[in-house]
Amino acid sequence: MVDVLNSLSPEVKDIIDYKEWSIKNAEGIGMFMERKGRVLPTLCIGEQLCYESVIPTIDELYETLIDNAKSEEQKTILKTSYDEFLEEYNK
Amino acid sequence: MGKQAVLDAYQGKYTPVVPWVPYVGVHAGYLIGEPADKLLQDADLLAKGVLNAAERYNADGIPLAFDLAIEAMSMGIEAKWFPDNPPTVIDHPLQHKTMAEADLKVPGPKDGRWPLIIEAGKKVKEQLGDRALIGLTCGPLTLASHLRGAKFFTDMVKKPELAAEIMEFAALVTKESARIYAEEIGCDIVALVEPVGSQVRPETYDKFVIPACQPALETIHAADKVSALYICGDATKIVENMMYTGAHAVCVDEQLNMNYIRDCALKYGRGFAGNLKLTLALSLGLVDPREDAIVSLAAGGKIGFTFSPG
Repeated sequence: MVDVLNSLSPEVKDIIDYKEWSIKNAEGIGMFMERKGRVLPTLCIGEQLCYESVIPTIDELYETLIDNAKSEEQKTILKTSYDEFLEEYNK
Repeated sequence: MGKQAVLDAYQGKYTPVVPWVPYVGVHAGYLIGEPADKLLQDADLLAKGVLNAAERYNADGIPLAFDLAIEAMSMGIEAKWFPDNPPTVIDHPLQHKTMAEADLKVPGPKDGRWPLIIEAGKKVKEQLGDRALIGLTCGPLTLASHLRGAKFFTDMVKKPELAAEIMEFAALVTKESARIYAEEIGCDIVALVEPVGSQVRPETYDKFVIPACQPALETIHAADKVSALYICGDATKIVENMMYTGAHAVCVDEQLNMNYIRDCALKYGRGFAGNLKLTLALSLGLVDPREDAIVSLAAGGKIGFTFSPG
């Protein structure tokens, strides 16, 4: 699941912070409980449990990120990056 | 020990005593004071580690190597080694290349680490006694994701023909891997391991994964061996689909409800294995492993059930 995040463009990675939490240590368990996680792996965006044991397609991930953008500037960067992904992917 | 009990349970049959199969993985190295990267690159150490673990844990059956990078690395694909984990594939040859451009070949018994795995397997087989030896192949979905990277999960939705082409190749690799474990090493059971299998939707599993498992399953059954599917994560949504894949047994993760797995397995006449809580009980100690084992044994019953970590 983390590989999908790694496949995002550098521009997108610049505007989001992402972290992988391990369930094998107290910090990770604390985060899992705090977010009310139900299954592993789960991909959260902000406070929301977005993908629970489902690897999203890159389209789904971009769409969810765009829906959760915190500013118009972020939204523009995400949309531009998504368009570039589609252009490259559909070649 | 009870090799026959494992074989019977994996085939969905009644066993007077529930067999026990620990998936020791690179912990086999830890037990003999050797790091994972050394264990998995040395036939003598691997054999020594597996035999020691089987003895130490009074196992009825034990896997040879829990290393899903063997197939990819035998195709020349780069992986990263760790002292406390199996290697991870870090290169994806089909990320920017077509199948024709990448010109990948199905690796055989002389490629990559296969010679040392075969050597270790034969040594273990000779000395394992009345215990089942289990060969673990990288499942076709996991291998396809090694080859194409994260894009493969998008391909299955947006480029199904490309996804099918990659899966068809992955299926041939898994088939050859299964043949090596079944015929060259003589493993009693061969399992297709899919750590990412639980992270696809049921319709995707039916469309891509089930057909891709068939060549390997047919090879295992033709060698008169027992087959299994090992899956990680919360596979609840595809458990029933796994039951009609054609494998004798389905082995699951700690996140699954054992009553549900048992009922599905009984319905389809399959074996099932699980699901001592590896993280909560064995790793973190948050749940008493003894109590957890009693709960699993009570839920599993004696028809087709093998007690294992989840």
